[in-house]
Amino acid sequence: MGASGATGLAGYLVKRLLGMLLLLAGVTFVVFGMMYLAPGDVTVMLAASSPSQEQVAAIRREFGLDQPPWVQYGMFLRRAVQGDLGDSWIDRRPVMPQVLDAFLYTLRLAAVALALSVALGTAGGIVSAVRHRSVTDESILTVTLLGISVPVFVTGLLLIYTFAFKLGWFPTSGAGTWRHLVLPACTLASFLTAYNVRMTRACMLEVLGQDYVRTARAKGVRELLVLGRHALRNALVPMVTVIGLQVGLLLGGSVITETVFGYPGVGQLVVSAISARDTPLVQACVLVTASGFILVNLLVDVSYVLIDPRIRLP
Amino acid sequence: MRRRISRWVLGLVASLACVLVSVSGASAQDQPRRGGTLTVITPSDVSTFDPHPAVGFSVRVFANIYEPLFRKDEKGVLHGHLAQSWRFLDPTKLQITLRKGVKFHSGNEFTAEDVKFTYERQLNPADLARDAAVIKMVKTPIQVVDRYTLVIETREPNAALVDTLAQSLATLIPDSGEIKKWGKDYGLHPSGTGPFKFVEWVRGQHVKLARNADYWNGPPYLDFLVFKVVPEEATRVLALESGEADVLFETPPSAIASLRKNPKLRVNRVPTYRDVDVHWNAMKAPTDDARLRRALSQAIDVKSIVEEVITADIGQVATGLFNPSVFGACDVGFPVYNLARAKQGLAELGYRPGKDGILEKDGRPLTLTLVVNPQRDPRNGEVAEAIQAQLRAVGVDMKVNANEFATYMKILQSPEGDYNMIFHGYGVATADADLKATFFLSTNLPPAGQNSPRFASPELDGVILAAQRDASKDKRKELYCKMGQIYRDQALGLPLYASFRNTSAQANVNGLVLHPDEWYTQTYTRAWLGPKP
Repeated sequence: MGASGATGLAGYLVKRLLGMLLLLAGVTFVVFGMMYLAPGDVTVMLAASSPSQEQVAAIRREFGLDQPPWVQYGMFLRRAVQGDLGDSWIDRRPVMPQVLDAFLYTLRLAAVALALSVALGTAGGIVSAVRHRSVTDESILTVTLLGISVPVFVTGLLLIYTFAFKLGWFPTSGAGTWRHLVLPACTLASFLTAYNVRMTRACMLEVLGQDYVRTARAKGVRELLVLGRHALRNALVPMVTVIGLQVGLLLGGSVITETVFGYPGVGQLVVSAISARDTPLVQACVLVTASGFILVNLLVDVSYVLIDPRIRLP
Repeated sequence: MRRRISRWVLGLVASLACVLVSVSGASAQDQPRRGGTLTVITPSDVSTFDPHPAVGFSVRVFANIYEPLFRKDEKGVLHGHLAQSWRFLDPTKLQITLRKGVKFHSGNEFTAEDVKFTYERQLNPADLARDAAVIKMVKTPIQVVDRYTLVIETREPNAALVDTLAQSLATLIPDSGEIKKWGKDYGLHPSGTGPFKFVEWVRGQHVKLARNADYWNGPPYLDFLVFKVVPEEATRVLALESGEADVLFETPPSAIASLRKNPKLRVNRVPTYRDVDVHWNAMKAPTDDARLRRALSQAIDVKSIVEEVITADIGQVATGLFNPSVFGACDVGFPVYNLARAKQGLAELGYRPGKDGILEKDGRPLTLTLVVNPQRDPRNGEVAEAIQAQLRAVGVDMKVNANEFATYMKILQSPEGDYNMIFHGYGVATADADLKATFFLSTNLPPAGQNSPRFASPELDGVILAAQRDASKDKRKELYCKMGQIYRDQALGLPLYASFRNTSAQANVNGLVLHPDEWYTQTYTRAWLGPKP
């Protein structure tokens, strides 16, 4: 990539990052709107047993709930621009440290689940494509069908029952050590791997039928090189797109997996924040995960250029 | 002969050995042992360790750090706790003398100023204490007589005042010095007088408390008390069964039978102060007609619903407005099921079968709405469906409107009250009927309060207030019976069941105090771990 290419990339990144800010503002607007329209509010959660009118009024005043919605949203945006996403309405402490803590847990779980699913999914997909219509192919497809169809909470509970309760190899729930990561990561990976196998298989089958692969084989290139250098590299673009989307989804936290395993990630945090009508905490959770999602998508777009030099950034 | 003697000696030695083993076994089992960590599983995390703004399950955790002035034991007998003695100076003034030499975990001494600070903070609307309403009868400022004596004054005579201050939910006393020192951050630096001290809080994972070696009432046996957060019900059960946790405070009903069969575990069924009712809305047509409410109430077979849906593990059929463990409980003739009378009553009111068998009057079908929050207990949703089916059998179209907590509360307290029937569960933490009875005052009609039957009458107000003010226990009990009768005669609703709690624990966990109060402060104070079987 020459100097002009580098300038082009920088310009592209600046444009995308500016777009990201607009997108995030849109996200906060949607979240605010949904929380505002949801029935019930934080006063109910904070003063559950017959609160006095003065108490309800005091709570509404403190959190600015007595202001019109556009004023509330404006106040939120003004603070957010200054890097302050506010305090939780429930525990009165800044929301950002809580959300970042949870996000780090989610990040760890996502990384392990993704590594597992990409490694197993790619390998399974290649084997399945190479052994097209064989018993191996059919067996892999059947297993992946199971992976896609069995709900995550069933997989999770089965893994806990077998590996935590019966065999005692891993803890049933919690976080903090690598042993806590194994079962939730496998649960998430079982679902993602199944998708990745099927997608890799489909991409590889298409590429393996191309002329350049036949040519490479005719030239006597070793099969491993044919698969790795000629077939897989050309199959990567759609795979990276889907994996990128999976990363985005994982960063949002897998609510069900995190709940089953009592894993303190951002998915669990946002659900409890929504139940408690803790708008600042919900906003912060969504902002952090949406930023992660947008950044990963940006990286995926940039990675196309590296994978396939024919692709140019707009 | 020698052989006979040796056999005799051998027999004696063997018998002695058996006795010694059994004695040592017995002592190992029965004598409390110091040390160990007790892990309790909890479905949700603590919101803060500041007892005033804290919500929900937080209390079950920090009730081990903080204590109230009084407490009621599991048999309902009232004791002084941080209060050494007390007496009413007149019907509205309670003088309390505090226990001397009690220290907070910070080292500060517990004094009357801490009590004054606590209650005044709770009652200040700007301080946003969650359950301030529980002590709203207390007048501020509170008068401190000396370092260990104070006088609490109420607006009106209140016979249940000491019982109110004996519950853990809203009367725990934090360290005022530390609150002033830490300000907004106090919630991360809690200091109380309780048997356990705060060690760490890993958000979303666990809370760790340690033995307070200087506890004024004798230090606990356990070294550590850990509350582990496990949101998923099935995982909580597996965590107990795998031995990762020692106590499951509320056993899911679906797991009770299987856990009972597990020889490593004990499941204890405990009565609670909670009961679950359904109330009619006496302000919304057509249930604003007491005759219709009466007929509809007679069409609901509460006994069969409780026996089939709730089951004997979880609750017993209610016969009155208050849980039988609560002072003031009275059998007022519930359940009132009588299908023939129900049909007759509906016919007398002019309801005739219309399209699809739904009763009609003046061309309008008898369509009602039942609001339920199945979040706290999914079986309430099933009970709602059973009520719906039974009413459908007499031609009433009851729509079930299931909502999560915040929405449910919004409907309950909305001025318009968009329901004909609503579920309402009460945990009467004071073990005195007054706490529940006051919900029915006309001053608590929504949106001001949670008078969910939306019924106001001077007669009912008079009975509730008289029961609140009368110092005579017999008279108060009589008045609460009368209240139950008014509730029944006006057909304001149907008491469904008094709840049981099923606490499961490893067989080597001893000394748990399984109190009817779900927020009780002394549950783990005398708990100890025996050898694992």
